[in-house]
Amino acid sequence: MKRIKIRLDRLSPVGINAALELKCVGAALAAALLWGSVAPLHIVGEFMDFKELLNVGVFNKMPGFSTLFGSALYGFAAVITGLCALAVWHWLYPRLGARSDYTLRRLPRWSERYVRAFAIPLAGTVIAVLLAAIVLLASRALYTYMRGWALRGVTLPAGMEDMYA
Amino acid sequence: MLELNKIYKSYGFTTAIDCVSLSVGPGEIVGLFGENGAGKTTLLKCALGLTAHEGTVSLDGEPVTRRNIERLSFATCEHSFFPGLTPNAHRDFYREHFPKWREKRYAALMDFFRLPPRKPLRSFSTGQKNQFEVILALSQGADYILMDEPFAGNDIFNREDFYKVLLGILEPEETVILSTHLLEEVENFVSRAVLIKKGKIVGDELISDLEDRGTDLMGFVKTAYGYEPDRVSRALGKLTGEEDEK
Amino acid sequence: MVSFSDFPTGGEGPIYLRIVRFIRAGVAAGSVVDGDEMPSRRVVSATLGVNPNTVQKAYRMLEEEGLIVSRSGAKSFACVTPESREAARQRLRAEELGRVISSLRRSGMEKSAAMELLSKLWDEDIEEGGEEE
Repeated sequence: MKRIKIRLDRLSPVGINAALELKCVGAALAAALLWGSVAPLHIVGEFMDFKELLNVGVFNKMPGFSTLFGSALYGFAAVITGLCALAVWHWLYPRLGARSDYTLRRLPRWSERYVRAFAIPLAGTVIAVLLAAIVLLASRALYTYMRGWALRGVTLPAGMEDMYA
Repeated sequence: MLELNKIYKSYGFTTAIDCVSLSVGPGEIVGLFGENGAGKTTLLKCALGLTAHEGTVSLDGEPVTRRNIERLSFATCEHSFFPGLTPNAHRDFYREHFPKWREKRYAALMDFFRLPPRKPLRSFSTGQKNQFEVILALSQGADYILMDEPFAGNDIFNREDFYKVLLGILEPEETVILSTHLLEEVENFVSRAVLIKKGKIVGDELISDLEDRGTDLMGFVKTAYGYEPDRVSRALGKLTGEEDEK
Repeated sequence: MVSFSDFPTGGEGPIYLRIVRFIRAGVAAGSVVDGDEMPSRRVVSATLGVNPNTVQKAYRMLEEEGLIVSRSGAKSFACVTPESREAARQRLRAEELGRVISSLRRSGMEKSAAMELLSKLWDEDIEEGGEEE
């Protein structure tokens, strides 16, 4: 376990605990995913209500995707904003307290200062974008399916075909 | 040979370094002298590539790149260590990045200055921080050790010890460039004196040559700076003269 | 091994000359004898806190004077004969007297007055039981 920890420490600025940061970023991403996963549930729920109403002859407007999806991605937006701030802090960190950036800039391995500053924010952002895309696509697919499901076997009154096109 | 060729550096409208060319060879101990703001710190930073500048810096004819940058080390009064790390952690870090790391010298110096190896640097006194900063610069395995006012805040006994330890451990091909305002102290320590004034070199002499000419470092600096020893007494004369007239 | 631990702090003139004078004084006093090993330039440099080039300059001057000689590798040894010891003593005396003479002349003293004073003080010193070395 100690060996892995030492390699991990290369991913954050010298003196900052990489493992801890990764855990925090992971937790933030999980929270954003949780926030985003409300959308599919909401979609299902709304369509079930919609279907019930259809069954008793109440023909409301079909819920729109963006209304249902709503603020699902705000969690990811917040995480990405936070990661940008983290990246800035990571970059400035060697200059706090002493000028250790002078040392980092003199290392034969010049990539060191960039890897340490940006590895975690970058990785976090990539994962956030991926998860956001998954949430979006999954919700979209679910929406299409639920739409189909809701309209199955329903006879629409005359003149209302357009509403549910 | 470390060669600085036609270095220019300006900050906005102020010229910090104005066409400076300097060559320093192996084994030299060079004192870089000048008043505050003369450009000593800036010049050292240009040599290390820590600040953008015009002109070239080369090591044995090659430009300074990641391949040879390990041959230059730096100790600064601003401190370039990692405050959150212990000396041991620093040693591990330096060992990993600088293949020519001098473990024996590091251990000997840590021992000599009695620095605690397992306390974070931020808990050290200023004097201890200075000492550790210089230890790192000396143990990196560099050929050219650049030091910018490394003893700011150390008492005179500390400093005397330091010069002696340095002279004892430096190898004949190791070069030191030391920027300091402590002229009298380092006079015997350095072999060459380079004077900077307003970003230009106004003097560059071997101490040996100064001795042969019957002068010393202080004399040389005073001449180069156009120092007027009786300026104070003349001013006082005017002042007290006015007082008497009243 | 010749020791530099008693090297006087704060003297006049460039340090390489002070090193030469120190060794010369040691030879004159007999504390540096023939064959005594001279510490290496590096050791002297570190002991005195003085650039090795300066030590080198001093050693070269001592060699030229014949007070030391370099042998095998980087080692140097003191080379003292009764003649060179006497010569060193003379030189030291001349330097000291020279300093006194300069200062007396600067104060405006004439040579004959100085000789009289010298004679008088010398006799007083003998009376007070000043020992001869």
